[in-house]
Amino acid sequence: MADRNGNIIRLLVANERLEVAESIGRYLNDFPQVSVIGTTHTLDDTLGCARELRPSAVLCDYQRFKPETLERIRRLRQELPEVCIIAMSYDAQQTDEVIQAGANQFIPKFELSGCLLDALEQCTAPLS
Amino acid sequence: MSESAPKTSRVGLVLIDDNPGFQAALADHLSGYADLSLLAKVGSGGEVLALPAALEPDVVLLDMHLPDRFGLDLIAPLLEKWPRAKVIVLTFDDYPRMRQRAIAAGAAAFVSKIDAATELEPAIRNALRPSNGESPWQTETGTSSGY
Repeated sequence: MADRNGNIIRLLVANERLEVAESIGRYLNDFPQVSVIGTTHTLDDTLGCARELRPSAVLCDYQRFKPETLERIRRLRQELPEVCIIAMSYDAQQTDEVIQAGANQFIPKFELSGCLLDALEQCTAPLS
Repeated sequence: MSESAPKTSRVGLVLIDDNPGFQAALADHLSGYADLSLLAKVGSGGEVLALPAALEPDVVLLDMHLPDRFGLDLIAPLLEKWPRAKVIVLTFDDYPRMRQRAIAAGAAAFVSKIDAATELEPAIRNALRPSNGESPWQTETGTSSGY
């Protein structure tokens, strides 16, 4: 698995709780094709890290009753048009909303281990 | 404390997690198992300790990061309240030291939320397995360890 240029996927993980972002980051760092370059939790930290580190993909937590999590997706899309944004949420009903906000993919957060790598692979598949 | 199989064919569970989205997702997941019954879901240590002792869940699913206390500090009070219950820690904080602390505190199993969809149900069944190795269920759906 790699990005469109065949490079390691440089991933930023953003979650409302930093310890969750860090745990997901530890899990993904076991995969050699993924390099977790940062973990963040606030909107400002996420945008700041994204601007500075220019990840190839961002994994974002989305919670329906926390509008700042949707705003994070919108702002990332505005500032980094080419980045792959994967939204994860326990609320599977909000798929359309996160895609409209600018996410490339939605994965159910309850099924992370089964969905996350596939999502990264699809998100960064070589252009035909 | 002696181990015992569930008194009925249904397994009663209590969930302690302050994320309403996770509560809903877990309830939906458990609804796929006819013999697993979510008796209560609460968002704090105070709420769970206020539940009636007569509820007598077979399993308590416990998150670590609660608004009023750290989950590990709740294991002993839960086992005092429900001595027959098996406490399964269910958290994103999956690293060896945390697992060790949870088991040392009395947890029967530790499941990472990253693997909840595949590992939780086997962990529940493993935790309730009698010490003689016999299955308390007529049919089994999971065999893997919860660790």
